[in-house]
Order: sequence, then C-alpha cells, then structure tokens
Amino acid sequence: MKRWLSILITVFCCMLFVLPVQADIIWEPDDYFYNQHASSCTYVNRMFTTNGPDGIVIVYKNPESPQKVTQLKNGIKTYISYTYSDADGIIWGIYEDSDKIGWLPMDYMELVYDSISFHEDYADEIVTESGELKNQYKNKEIYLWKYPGSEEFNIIKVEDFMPSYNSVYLDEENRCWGNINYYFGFRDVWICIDQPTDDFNTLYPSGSPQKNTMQKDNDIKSESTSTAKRIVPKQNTAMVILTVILVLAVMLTTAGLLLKFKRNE
Amino acid sequence: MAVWLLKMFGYALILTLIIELGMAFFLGIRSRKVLLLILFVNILTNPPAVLLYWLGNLYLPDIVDFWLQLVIELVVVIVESLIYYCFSIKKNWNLTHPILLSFTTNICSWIIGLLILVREDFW
Repeated sequence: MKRWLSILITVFCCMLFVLPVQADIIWEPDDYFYNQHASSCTYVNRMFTTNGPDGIVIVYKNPESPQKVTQLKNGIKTYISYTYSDADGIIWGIYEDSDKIGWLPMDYMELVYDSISFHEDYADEIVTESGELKNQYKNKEIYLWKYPGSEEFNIIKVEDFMPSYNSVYLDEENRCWGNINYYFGFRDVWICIDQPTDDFNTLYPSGSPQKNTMQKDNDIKSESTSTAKRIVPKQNTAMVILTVILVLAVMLTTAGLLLKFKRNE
Repeated sequence: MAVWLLKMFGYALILTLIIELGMAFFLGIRSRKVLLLILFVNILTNPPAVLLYWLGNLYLPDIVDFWLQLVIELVVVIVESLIYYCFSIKKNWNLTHPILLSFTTNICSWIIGLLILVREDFW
C-alpha cells in the first residue's frame, strides 16, 4: 500500500510540473488539429484582411470539421501564423482570437501589404548594402516604417546604438531607405536614411505610392470570391466510418481473446 | 489521411502499452499472465478512447475538450477496473488492488502523454 501511495504522490507532483512547463514553451497555436498536423503546416506569420463571399468569412474548428467557431465580417485584419493544405489542395489558415481558435480558407483572405511584399515587388531595386544611421541622429526620434511608402510606423529615440541596415532601396524621390533586420524589438523595418526624422506627410505629401496598385488587386479579388461556391471543410466520411468499423473489430477480437483467456485460466 | 490515422492510433497504443506495462512492472507485478492481461485490456480500451477523442474534436465545440478527455479517461478506468476485478477474484491470479492498478496506470499514461506533448511543442 505504501508503494501505491508513493507512486500516486509522485504522479500528483508530475501533474503540478506539467502546468508551469506548459506556460514556458515556445509559442505555437494551442489547437488539437495543429498539434496533430504540425509537420504539415507552413509558418506564415503575416497579416491578412478578410474578404469572403456574401460579406463574411466562416471560421471552422479545423479543415475537416463542419463545426463553426465564429464568423468574421469582411474587412477585418487578422494575423495568420500557420497554414495547412488539405487533401484537395485548399489552404487553410489558423485564426486565433483571445478566446477562439479555428481555421479559415485562405482563398478568402487578402494579404496585408507588408515588408515581405515590398521585398518581393521591388526585389530588383533593393540592393545589398550594409551601413549605420549617421551619428547626427543620436538622441533624436526616428521613424521606423513598415516599408517605404507605408503609413504604419513606430517612433524610437536613438540612444546608445545606431540602427544598422543591410539592404537599401532608392524611392521615386531618390531618397535612400535602409532595411533593418532587428532594432530593439522591431523586426524587418525600414528607415529613410536621408530623412529618418520626417513623418509620412513630409515624405509623401501626395500619398503612398503603393496604394493605387493594392486597390486594383483588391477589387479583382472581390469579384472572383463573390461568385464562387463557399469553401467548406471536406469531411472524409468514408474514412471516419472505416475507422469506427476497424476499432470495433479490434475491440471485439480483444474482448473475445480476454474471454478465452479467462476460461483457460 | 489513412497514414495519419494509423500513426495516431499506433503511437497512442504503443506508448500506452509501454507506460502501463512498465508501471505494472514497477509496482511489482511480475506474473506473465497478469502482464498479458494488462496488454489485452489496453488493446481493448485504448483504440476506442483515441477514437472517441478524435471524433469529439471533429464534431464537438472546443469548450468540451478537457471534459471530454476526463470523461473518456474515467470510462477507461472504470472498464479496466471491472476487468481486473473479474480476474482478481480468482485466487491463483494474485491480483490485488485492481481499481488502484487501473487508476495509477491510466493516470501515469495520461500524464506522460501530456509531458511528451509539451516536450514536442518545446522542441
């Protein structure tokens, strides 16, 4: 009896150990489907805007379940960390909210233009060149832009370490922009090397040069999604039934063996 | 999907068998017939438990996830306890504390399964 007690106490201690360890793990979606298919999922880590048929995007429990988790109106910006491609080649993205987690069809999601998009569009014009912001901007507040022409920025005061860039881009006004991999928590951002302290209106009094292109792409995509049949998770019912039958067969066989075992003994 | 399902059921069963047989051995159970009994009992209960959990995840809302696990584990413990009890009443089996055996081995396999999941997420 003492041995049983000691084992139970050990097991109880292990239970306590599990909870704090779970809090320390590297962040990944806390989703059963994701956990089961992690090796088949692709890390995306980008922002998207919802643009589904009939004005909504439905979030399902997983790409194989008809259970609806929630629905999002079009125009909502959401972060997608991972995607999964199902047997039919449909790509599903994992949606996470403060209290909800689910999967939505990536066909109904439009990429929010970001630094990666900028790199792709202007790959020929971005040159590998390393450097550091001039010391004259020490103790001054500079703008860290999402990409050249973006209206999204962060302001940071340059103190001990000058931001360093590893590639440059020349815009239409012949201003030099530097891409910063990392600077005090900010990843993949841009500084206008020639005018790092200027705001958007000063840099682009006529508005962002990328905006017009993005708007055209959005219009085209909206037309194509509104007429197509809504993408829903495809259940492999045959596989489910087959699995149930096989499990029942295993159970019956094992039950039979146990009965035979009991009789023989 | 078939391969994935086979892996899911296969890994779950093998892991459960290793843990529960190991646990039984650690508890001093050396009798070959008792160990064989534990093997059969787990082959009987583990696949339906995994199946029910998988189906629950497909068709039920997320909110019942933990409770579903708990209920399934409880049913497994009860069924295994009953089977062990049926065999324990036979004198030559020397199987004492059937309920405690079922409870301890199942709790251990559940905890170790969770720890493995946590370790996988960490790495």
